[in-house]
Order: sequence, then structure tokens, then C-alpha cells
Amino acid sequence: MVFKSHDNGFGSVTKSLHWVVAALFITVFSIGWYMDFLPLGMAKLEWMSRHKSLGITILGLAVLRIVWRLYEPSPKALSAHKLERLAAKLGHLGLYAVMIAMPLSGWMMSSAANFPVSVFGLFTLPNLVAPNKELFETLRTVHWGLSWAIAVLVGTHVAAALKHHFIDRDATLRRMLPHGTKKVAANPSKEHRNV
Amino acid sequence: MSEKLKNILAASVMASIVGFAGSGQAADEWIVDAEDSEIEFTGTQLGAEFEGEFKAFNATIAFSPDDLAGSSVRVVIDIASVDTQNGDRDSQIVSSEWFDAGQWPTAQFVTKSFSEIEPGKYQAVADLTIRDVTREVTLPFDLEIEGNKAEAKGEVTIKRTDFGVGQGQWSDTAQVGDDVTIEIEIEADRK
Repeated sequence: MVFKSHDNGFGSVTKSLHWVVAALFITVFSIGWYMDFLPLGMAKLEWMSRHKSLGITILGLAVLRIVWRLYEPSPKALSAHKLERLAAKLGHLGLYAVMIAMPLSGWMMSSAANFPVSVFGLFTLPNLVAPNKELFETLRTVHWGLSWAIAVLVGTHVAAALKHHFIDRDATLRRMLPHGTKKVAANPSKEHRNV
Repeated sequence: MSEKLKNILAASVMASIVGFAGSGQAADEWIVDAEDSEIEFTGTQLGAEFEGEFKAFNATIAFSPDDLAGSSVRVVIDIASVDTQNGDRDSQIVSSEWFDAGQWPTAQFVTKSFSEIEPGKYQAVADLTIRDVTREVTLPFDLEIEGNKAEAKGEVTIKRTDFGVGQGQWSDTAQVGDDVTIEIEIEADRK
């Protein structure tokens, strides 16, 4: 098993982090919208608790992922167009930004609401800001706005991956799949075509 | 001197003697300094602690360290004055499922006895009434008296469900913890 990424493929650490965070993103996003529509009651609190705990998990994994990304080389982008490569770079930067900003805004929002965050009941996070009703409203708007930014970024990310796979027919999507590296290595001439 | 006037005089002399004797026996009276006094509490929600306070309360205090038997404290807390720095939670707290401030607008703390644990440390046994439930609680507190100023600090942990705070679905303590710690910090001036 290759832990580190290389020029033509992703290592198992990045692949695992990518898919775990992807699954968590979808889960936390869905819980977020679901709990928002629930009336104030036990069920809402239970879902809020899960939302916060999983959101903080994303924050931790995002930090790990960024540190790991800075440590290892990144595979080359496969797109032929400079503009597409730039768009991909910006999209990825945006995704990293929301991976940090979204949980952080939620954590701050909880602090401003004097509603400290317990992570799976294991430990309680310190408050990032002092309780403040106005700040809470602002942060709630930020958190809500970021949820739409995430929808757009993830939607574009998925669409781009599918475009690479079905239209460009390159290894962009395959090389992020659990067993994708071998296939990439098996056909290196094609992968190098656009580099 | 008319008979009537004599009677009035006798009555007033008697009243002042009785009054004097009475005040001599009772413990010193204290007036709470509302600015520097607080009744706070710590609860848990989703496993994390949060703090709140009751901003309005009235306290009638008679206390002398050398006359604990004659000492008494009665505190009446205005439930609607709750502030946990969260509008949603504050409106929940006063609602019928929690304190039901519409029906029971105040909570009362009335002492039954005091005892000295060690110099400067006391404990009060009191009846605490929240909603329609009265239970005995024991509040240990530190007391410092300097001249005509007194400062008392203490805390007691109660179970909210003992008082019916959290009805129906909220009697489940998984998301909103049962234990609530009440912290008092009272500054008072001798009357």
C-alpha cells in the first residue's frame, strides 16, 4: 500500500481522508438542514449534538489533510487546458477553505449562543468567543451562507470529476478511487499525455 | 390625665419594651446589594455545561454568627428574569414544560436552620420551592463579615427533575442534564 501520493496517483492516506471527509460532509450537511426544520424538542437537540460532533470531526480531519497535503507531493492535474487547471486549483482551495471555515463558524456560533460544543460527549471545546446575541445572528448567517458555498463547490467538484471520467476519459476520478492507483500506473502513457 | 391617654401611654411603653426586646433577640438584618450579588446556575446541554443567572430576586436576611438560631434567610427569585445569553433557551426555560413562569412566577428559598462548620463556613438547611415542589436542600457557604459589610458565597447541586423542571419529553435527562448547580454570591450591608 502506498501511503504517500506521487506525481501520478494519490496515496492511501489522502484517498481515505478524501472519502471519509466526503461522507462526513454529506452527512453533516443533511443533518444540518434536517435539524433546522425540526421543532425545538429532544429530537432536534439529539441531531444538533450529532451535527456538532461530526462537524468538529471534519475540522480535525481537514487539519490533518492539509498538513499531509503540504507534506506529500500532489499528483499532476490531468486537464489539457490551463484555465481548467486553474479552476480546479481554485475549486480545491475553496473546498479546503470551507472544510475549515464551516466547522469553525459553527463552533463560534455555538460559543456566541452560550451553547458550548461537546464532542460525542467525550470532551467539551472551549468557547471561541464570549456569548453575544448579535454575533450569534451574524455567525448563523455566515454558517448558512457557507452551506450554500459548499453545495456549489461540492457540486462543481463532482461534476468536474464526472466530466473527466466520462467526457475526457482520463484518470482523474479513477485515481482517487480505493483501487485506482494500479490502473493509473497500468496506463501511464495516457495519463502523461496532458501533463 | 384621662384614662384613655393613660391606656395609650401604657400600651406604647409596653410596645417599645417588647419591640426592643424583640430586636435584641433577633439576628442582625441585612440589605442585599443587588449590583454585586448574583444567583447563577450551571446546567448541561448536549453534554456541555452552560451558565445562566436569575437577574431579579429579593432577599430578606437576618443573620448573626452568634445567633444562628435566630437567623433566617428568605429569597424569592423571579423566574422570568432568567438570562442564559440565548433567547431561544430563555424562552424555553419560562415555558410550561420547564419552570412554567406563567403559573409559578417565583422560586423560593427559605431557611430552616443554620449551623457552623468551621469559622467563616456555615451551612443552611432550607426549603427550596420551584414550581409546586418543595424540597429540603443544604447549602454550604463561606461568609465574611467586615464591619457592616458581608459577603456570602456558596453552591448547591440539585436535580431539576426532583422539581418537575422539564416535563414530558424533557424529563429524559440524556440531552439536558439532571444536575444543576446553583451558585450564590451575595453582598449585603447591615441595616
